[in-house]
Amino acid sequence: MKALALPRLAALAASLLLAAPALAAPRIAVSISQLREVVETRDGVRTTRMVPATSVTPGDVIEYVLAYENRGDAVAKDANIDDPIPKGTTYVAGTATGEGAEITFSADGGRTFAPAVRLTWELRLPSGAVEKRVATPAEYTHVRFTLKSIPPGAKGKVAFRVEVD
Amino acid sequence: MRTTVAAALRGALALSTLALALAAAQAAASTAANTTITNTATVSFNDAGGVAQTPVTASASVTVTLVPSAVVLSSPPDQTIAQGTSATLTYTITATANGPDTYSLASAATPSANISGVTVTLPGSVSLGGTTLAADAVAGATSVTVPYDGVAGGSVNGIGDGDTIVIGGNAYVVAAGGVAKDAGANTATITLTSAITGATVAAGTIVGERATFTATVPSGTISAGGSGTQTVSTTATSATAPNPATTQATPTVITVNRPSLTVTKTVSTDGGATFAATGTAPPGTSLVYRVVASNTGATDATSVAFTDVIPAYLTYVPGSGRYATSSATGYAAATGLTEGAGGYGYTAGTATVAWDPGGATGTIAGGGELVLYYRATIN
Repeated sequence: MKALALPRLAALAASLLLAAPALAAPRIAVSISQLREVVETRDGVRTTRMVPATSVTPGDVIEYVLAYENRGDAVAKDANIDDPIPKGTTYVAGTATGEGAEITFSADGGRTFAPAVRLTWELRLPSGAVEKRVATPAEYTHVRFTLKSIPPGAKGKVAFRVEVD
Repeated sequence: MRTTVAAALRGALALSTLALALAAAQAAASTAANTTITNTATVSFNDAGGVAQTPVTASASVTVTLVPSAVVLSSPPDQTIAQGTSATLTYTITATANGPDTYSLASAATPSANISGVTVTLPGSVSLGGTTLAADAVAGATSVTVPYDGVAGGSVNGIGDGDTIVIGGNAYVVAAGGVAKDAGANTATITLTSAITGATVAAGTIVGERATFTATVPSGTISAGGSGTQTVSTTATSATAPNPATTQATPTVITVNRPSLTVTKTVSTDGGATFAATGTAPPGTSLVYRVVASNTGATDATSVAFTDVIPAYLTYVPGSGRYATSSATGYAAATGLTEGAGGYGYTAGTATVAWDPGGATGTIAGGGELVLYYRATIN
């Protein structure tokens, strides 16, 4: 009986899936939290910890944590989390992290993205020749986290840090 | 081959120059207090079938706080004043902070050993605006862009109409109605009464307000000698912890001079030709007395007045009073004084000759003299 029942269940599941496409959709929610690094020296031991930031001073490092979640009932594909480096801040090299995310940067206002080591910009030399330079982290205008697939119910976090000019 | 090497070197040079320029710009870059830094993330994604879905966004913002910074305070030049007057020192104070702040002012005068101490009068505090450039200030431009400070009004971070602000080391004046705010763009525009001069000033450079204030320093009273000094030092301290302070680099030395009078009295037995401290003459001789007031100080002696009591056995000769402004001027050439006028007169009851000319005549400049002559006859 059990062996017979299985195909029926599978058929039922298949019929549900067939009915679903009209309704099922990915629904992505995203939130940002901003943290500020606080350096404390207690008993001669220097420690740093992150606290929620509401105000900052020039030179402070802000960590932006972007939390995403797929609250829909279908997979989200090729999700790009784009974040312009806020005006008045500078990206801190090597601080972009995100499990399962491909991280690319833009140095041209978000028109093109490339991995950090391959991000270039053009320099016109006095001789008239044009050379490609690798962009420095201070020149990054955008950071992009690409997630190939976010299944329903999946959630995660990506993060990066900037220094306040 | 050589050409290639040269090109490579040029390229390397250009890169290192650029790297230096970038490093310098970053070191100086700052963001104004009260600036809101907003981070907006956008997530774009597709469904399983590859159809693009409506992107979602989230944003978060922080506000930049004031980083107090010591002002730049001028050192007013040294001055020389007369005792009984005051010196007025004009200071220039320039903010170097990323936002508005109040600076308390304190000033002390250190007296030399021969002069009394004094209290310097100056404003208790001065408030100066401050911001940063949100975009490069280009030479020739008559306006600069700074971050929006989050509030409406005619001034941005304490900088408003008519204020003097320093951009890249040069001072400019904010035009009337010169502050225009754009909350949407998160910027404010400050229009100046003159164009930016010199090189382009990089975004992130601090723009500080400059103001002047005066300190009044009384002379004090000299106890010995003709002059003394008051050495003045003024400090401006930020009201914001950790309260950075600036003291004027070079104290201002105020030299105080006072008049110093000496009096000599001589007599002539030959009608005013020669004068000496002593002499001999028979009864009936008309003596000429000479009283010389000399100002050996470096400053005016004012309201100089003479009184001289005629000794016994002498009779004052009415109308004999004369004066001169130098002892080189003899009795014959001296200017006549009118009995009972111009502060001159003889009081018989006390046998006193008195002269209080007042005004310009009663003032003896430093190094000058005032001479009084009169005659008396030996009984």
